[in-house]
Amino acid sequence: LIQILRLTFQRDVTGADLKDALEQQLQPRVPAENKAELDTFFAVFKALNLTTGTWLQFDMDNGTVVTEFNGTSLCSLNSPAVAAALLDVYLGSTPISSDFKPFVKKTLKLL
Amino acid sequence: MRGLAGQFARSARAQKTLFVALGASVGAVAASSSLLSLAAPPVPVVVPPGAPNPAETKAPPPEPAPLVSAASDSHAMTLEPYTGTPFPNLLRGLDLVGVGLRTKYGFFSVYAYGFWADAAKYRTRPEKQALEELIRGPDHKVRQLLDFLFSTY
Repeated sequence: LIQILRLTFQRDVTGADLKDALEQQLQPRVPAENKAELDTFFAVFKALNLTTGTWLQFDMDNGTVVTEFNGTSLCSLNSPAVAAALLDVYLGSTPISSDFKPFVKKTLKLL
Repeated sequence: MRGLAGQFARSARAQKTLFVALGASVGAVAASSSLLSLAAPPVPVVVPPGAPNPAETKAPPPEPAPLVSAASDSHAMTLEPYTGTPFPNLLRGLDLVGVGLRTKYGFFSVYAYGFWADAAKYRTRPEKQALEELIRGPDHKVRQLLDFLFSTY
């Protein structure tokens, strides 16, 4: 396993709402030829009931993304493009949170 | 008549109390939102196993400690500083290297997030190279080369 990203919800969110929010971020980061992989990635989101305290986790290993909900594996997708786009949302050149990337750089003492 | 005047006075008092309460809560929301948007981000708190969550108690939080140095204890947790959401310092052999909070409109918390990776692999590496590998994977250049070769020939 190379990386894990876990989202713990602080309010009740529908899977469809999270899909829309994440899709907005991921669409521009995924090349056109990999758009179908993005659809596969989001296929399990609609049925999710993301209530306060529940968590969604993405385990990434050499381009394979395993989506887990509260510890239950939902789907496994081999897509380096989707895995990179997902991490680029938080660690890329235009991250969604201004605090997180400096935090990671500081923790890893990057030069 | 006195009864009606008394009712009116009671109703006016109740309204006054309601307005005072509303004013106080609006002030509190404004203060908390301005805190979130203007103040420097607080430092995550590392909590030893078995210790109470400081976000749920009124006691002052323990001294913050660096994330990776505390990761050797497999049961230790780090709390996301705004919400107190706990994230384990070690998860499936990987080190917690960052926590964050996704908000809507700057102050509605949507989700807290944690990110785990093999810290020793990236520590004290050049920033650009380390971030590129974190995002695209350690062998992304080999994959790119293979993709190029197989798509060309």
